[in-house]
Amino acid sequence: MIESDAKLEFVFARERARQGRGDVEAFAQVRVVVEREGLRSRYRDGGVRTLGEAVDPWPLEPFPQVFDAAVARHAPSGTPTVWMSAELQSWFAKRAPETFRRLLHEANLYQRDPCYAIVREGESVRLAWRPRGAVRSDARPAPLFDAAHAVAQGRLPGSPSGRTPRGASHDDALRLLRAHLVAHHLTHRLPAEVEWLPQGRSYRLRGADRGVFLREGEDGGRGSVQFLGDGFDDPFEVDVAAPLDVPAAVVRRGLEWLLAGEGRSDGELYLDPTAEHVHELW
Amino acid sequence: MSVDIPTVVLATDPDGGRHVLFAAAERDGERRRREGLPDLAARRAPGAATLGSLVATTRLANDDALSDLFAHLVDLPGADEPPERAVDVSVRCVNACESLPDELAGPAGGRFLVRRGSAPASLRARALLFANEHAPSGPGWSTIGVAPFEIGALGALLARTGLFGASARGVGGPEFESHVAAWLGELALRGVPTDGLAAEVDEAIAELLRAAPRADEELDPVLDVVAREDEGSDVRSGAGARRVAAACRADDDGVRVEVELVGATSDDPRDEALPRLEWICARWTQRAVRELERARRDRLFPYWLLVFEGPEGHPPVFTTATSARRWLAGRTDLEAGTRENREFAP
Repeated sequence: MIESDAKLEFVFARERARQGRGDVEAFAQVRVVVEREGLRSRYRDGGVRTLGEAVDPWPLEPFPQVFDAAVARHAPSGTPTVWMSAELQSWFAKRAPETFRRLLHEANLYQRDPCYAIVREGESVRLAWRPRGAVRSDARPAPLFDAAHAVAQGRLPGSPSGRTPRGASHDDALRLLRAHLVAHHLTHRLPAEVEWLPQGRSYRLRGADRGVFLREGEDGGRGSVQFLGDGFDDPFEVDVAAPLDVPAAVVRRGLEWLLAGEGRSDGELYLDPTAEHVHELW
Repeated sequence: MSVDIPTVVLATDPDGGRHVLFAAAERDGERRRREGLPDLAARRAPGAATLGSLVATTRLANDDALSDLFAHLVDLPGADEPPERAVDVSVRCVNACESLPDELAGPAGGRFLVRRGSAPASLRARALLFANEHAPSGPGWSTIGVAPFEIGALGALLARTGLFGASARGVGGPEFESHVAAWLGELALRGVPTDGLAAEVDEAIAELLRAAPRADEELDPVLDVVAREDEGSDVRSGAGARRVAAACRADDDGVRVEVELVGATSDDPRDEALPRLEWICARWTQRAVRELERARRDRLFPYWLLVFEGPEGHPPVFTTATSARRWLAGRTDLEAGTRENREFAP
């Protein structure tokens, strides 16, 4: 029986999806909700065969087949609505591009769970706030993340090539910067291998034979730091300001993730504002 | 904000150098713990710490090194917290300590307000500080606070006889050296040959300190200071006819050590008239002297406290030698002391 006032809604579980095979591009956990005359009900293609299926809140369905079947079955009056988390959108865009393209064209795609997204790509890293609702992404400048990403990749952040020292001084500077980021944002204590020099408000590697100094810049080193000493003809400034209006827990997890990203390829990290729900995508 | 003020306990060596005996900070929340931080090296990356660096960091070259130490004891403010501009820290000196700054620059734009204090109350007038040869400044000893005369006198005796190590320098004790010299001079005046006599005296006293039958186990448990006074001890040494005899006798103030020269010819009437070397010092127990000898060889703990005990109103007894770090770590009045210090904060 076909009724024309039906509204169709696809609600995806937050992050569970896996690659399909053949005609099936992907399997994803989804609830298909049909709203008819103000009544909402779950719908399952082919009906419910077992009790387990009946109580399963997030059945695993094949895509795009389930979409096609539901649209054909219910012939909704308007465009179907799709609720999908940011991480799942990204997953679909990469792993199931055909399905994703169809969802974008044939449905209204909404962002399900508000979150922060950190995207690491080559030498760049981007932080964005993804609010609930219509799909959009508010970029947030995060010099701290740029610095952490550069350190993880073994280069001094924001340095035009040829200006920073090579070799040992470069390595010392990197170790100092990493220690500074870890101490001020993660552990909240100075590691023993870093010596505090109160006269110049600076740090040095304890027992290092080269003199590379990291000096606290504005706001006690929270806004920026400077490198001085061997291999640095002029003070070399690095912006390390934390992103504004971003919860500390998010900054913390993001920084941990970036610093641990040594030698790894591109990746994405999705965090809810409390950083309790964190999802990593490669 | 920490519950307690980060505290560093310092000692001064005879050259005026400052050494860290103990450092502690207590932290809030999950990270709350008491840290006996004697050396930054212990928290270094594995492999980076050597025994040399471990000992070397106990010496504070200047105020910057003190600031460096506090920078590692104090929590850095979190990114979401307002920067902690001023942090109270406490520096306690067990012996003379001068010219500490009121304020030090701290990391993350902060500063340390230095509260100065003296040795914990339970140490004052109740202990000697001993540094063995592995200490950066070499072996040495000093009194803590205003020590009773007999404690310093025992320190001088221990130093003279080599129990603190061959080249130990001391601060705060009476001059045993000149006392012996005066005695030798007097003997010389009477025509007694004094060649090598000083060494024999040292040997006899060292023997006495190690083997003194007096004041030992029967004194130890109850610290019964009013011990049997009639029991003297007698140690004789020296080759040939001339002998140096050392003995000690319990006294109201402690122990009277007496050294006398038993003459070359026993029928010489002048023997009787020869002056004795007398020295009054605190009592000791054999166990404590044995512990001190162990402390002298210890490579890991260069700083030791020679603890004197005894009931109120009685002369103190040297009962134990303990690592300064271990002793201070187990102290509760260290914290009480810092709180009391904080009350003076503006």
